[in-house]
Amino acid sequence: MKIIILFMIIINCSYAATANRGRNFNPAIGINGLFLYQNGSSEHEGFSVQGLEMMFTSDVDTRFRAEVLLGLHPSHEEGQHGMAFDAEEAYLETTGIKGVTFKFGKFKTKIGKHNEKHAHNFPFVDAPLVFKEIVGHEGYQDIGVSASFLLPYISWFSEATIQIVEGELEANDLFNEDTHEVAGVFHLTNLWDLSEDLTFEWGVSGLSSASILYGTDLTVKWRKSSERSFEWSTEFLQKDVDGEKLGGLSSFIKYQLTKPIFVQYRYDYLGFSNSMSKNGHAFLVGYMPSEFSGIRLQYQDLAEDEKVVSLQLNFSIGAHPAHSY
Amino acid sequence: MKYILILVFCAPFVAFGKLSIVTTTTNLKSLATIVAGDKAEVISLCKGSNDPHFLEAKPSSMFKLSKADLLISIGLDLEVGWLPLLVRGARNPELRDGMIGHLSIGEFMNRIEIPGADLSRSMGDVHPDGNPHVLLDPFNATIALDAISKRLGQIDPLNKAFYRKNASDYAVKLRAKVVRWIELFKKAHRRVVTYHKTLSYFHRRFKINVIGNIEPKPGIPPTAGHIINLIKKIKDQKVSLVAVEHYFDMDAAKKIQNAVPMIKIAMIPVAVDATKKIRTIMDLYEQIVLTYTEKR
Repeated sequence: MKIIILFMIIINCSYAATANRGRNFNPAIGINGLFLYQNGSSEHEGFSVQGLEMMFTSDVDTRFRAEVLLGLHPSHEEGQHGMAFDAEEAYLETTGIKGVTFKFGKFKTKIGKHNEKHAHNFPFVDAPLVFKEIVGHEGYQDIGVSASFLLPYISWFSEATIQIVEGELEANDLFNEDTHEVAGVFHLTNLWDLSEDLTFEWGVSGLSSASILYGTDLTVKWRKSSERSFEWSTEFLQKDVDGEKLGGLSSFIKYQLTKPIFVQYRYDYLGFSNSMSKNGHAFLVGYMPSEFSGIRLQYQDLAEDEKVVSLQLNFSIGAHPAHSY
Repeated sequence: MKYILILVFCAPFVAFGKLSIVTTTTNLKSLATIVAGDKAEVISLCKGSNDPHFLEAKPSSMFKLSKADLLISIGLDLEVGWLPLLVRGARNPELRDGMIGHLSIGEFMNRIEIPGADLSRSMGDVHPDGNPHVLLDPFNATIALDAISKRLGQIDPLNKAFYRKNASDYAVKLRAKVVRWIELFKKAHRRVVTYHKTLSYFHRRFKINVIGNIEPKPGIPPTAGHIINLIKKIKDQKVSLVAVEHYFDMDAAKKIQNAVPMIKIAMIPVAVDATKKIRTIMDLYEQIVLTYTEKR
C-alpha cells in the first residue's frame, strides 16, 4: 500500500512538471539512491538497495518553507524483511523571523553531530557503531517543535537549539516501550575559524525525559582548495535508559588525496559505564567524480570476528540542497 | 528630563556608524568598497583564491551574515550551492532573495551562453541562466556600480549622493580605460584557449576568439584524449595563448606547451586578491589585459 502511495506521488509530480503553468511553484525535488554490495555482513549480505530518499523542498509562503523527506530502506524491525517506507522528515520552518528559526513537524533531532545527517551524506557506508547501538539503526527522528538561534553578544558562531518532542515510541533504543513521556532536546554548537582554511567545532547535546542522553562532539576541518582537504571528527554519546547505562565514542579522519579520491578511517568504541565492551575499525576509499555520484569501498573490522567488505554506489538526481558544514 | 531620556535611547542608533556589507566574491567586494567608501565595512565570503562555485557553507559565514545590512551576490546560480543555506542560518530575513538587503547583480546583466531546453547535468556544471562570470567585462562592472549605488541609496538615503558620485566617477575611469585597452588589443593574442569559460564576457568585449577549453565540459577535469584533440586544434588554428584561471592547475597547459613550444601559457587571475598585487578590480582588469597583450 505504501509503495502504491509513493508511486502516485511520483506520477503526480511528473504530470505537474509537464504542465508549464503550474511548474514555477513546484517544489525542488531530489532523489538520492544508495546501492550496496556487502560480504560478511549479518544484515545486508550481497546486493541490496541500502536506501532511496526523496526530498521535496519549497517556500510555502513569505513566512515558511517546508521540507519533506520520504525514505525507502530495508526494514530493521525484528522478523520483518523487505523495504520499509516512511516520512523520515516532514516539517515547516520559519524564514521571516529575525534571529530565530522555528521548526514544526517531524524532524531528525539535534542530538550529537551524526543524527541529523541523511544516509547519502554519511561519512562512511554505515553509521558509527556507537550511534547504531545508542541511538538506533534508524537514527532518532521525532515529532514536535524546535527553536534554534545564534547566541547574542557572542563574537563567534554559537548556535543553540531547543526541541520539545513526543518521545517517539518507535525509537526503542532510546525509550522504554512502557513509558511515553515528552522529551526535551538541547544542543549547543560553537565554531571558530582558526585561519581561513581551518575550522574547529565543539558541540554539546542532551536529551531529557524518562531516558537521559548526553554527548559532546569535536570536529577539525581543513580545506586548502577544492582538491585537498582534511577532517577529523569525534563524537561521544552516553545514555541512561531505566538505569541501564551505555556509552561510547566514534572518531574518524577523512583525507582528500586528489579532487575525486578520499581515504578515511574510523574507530568505534562502545562500553563506557557498562561491562560490555566492543570496538571496531573501518577503512574506506572513495571515488567521487562529482557532487552527484560516487563509489566507496569500505572494510570494517568489528568485534566477534565480524569482518565486512562493502561497496557502495551513491547518486543524486534533481535538486540537491547543500549539506550543513 | 524627557529630552535627556530620548537622547539616551537614540544614542545607540546615532552611534550606529558604518554599514555592514557582505559580498560573495572579492570582485563584488572591490566594487562595493569603491561605492561605499568609508561609510561601510565590506567583507567577502570567498577568498580571492577560491573557486566560488564550490565554497562550503561555513557557519562562521552565517555569523557574519547575521550582522549584515546588505548582501551582494552575483546570482545566476553561481552561489546556489551554498548561499541559501548561509542566509537561512544567519536568521537575517532582510537578506533573503528579493528583499532590500539582498542585491543580486546578475539580474541587471545581459547574459550569454544560456543553455537550451535540453539542459542536463550530463553537460557538466552548466548554469541554467547563462554564464555567471559577468564581472569580467569592465562595462558590466559599470552596471554593477550603478546597481550597488542605487541599493545603498535606498538603505542609507542620507548618503545617496555620496554613493552615486563614487559609482559614476569610477565608471567614467573604467570606460576611459576600456577605450585605451581596445587599442592595445589590436596587437594582442586573438586566438586563445582557456581552462574554463570564466572569461567569456571579457572575450566578447575585446573580440577574442576562444578555440577551445582545457575542460572537456564545465567542471570536468581534462582527459588525455581531450588534450590530444585540443593540441591538434591549437596547431590547426594557430592559437598563440593558453590562459589558465588562477584556481586551476597548470599541468594540462604545460603538456600543451611541450607539444607546441612557441605557444604562450599563463596563469590568469579572474578575481581580486588572486595575488597580492591585485587589490582592486582595476588591478584585475589591468593584469588580464597584460596577459593578452604581452607577447610572452
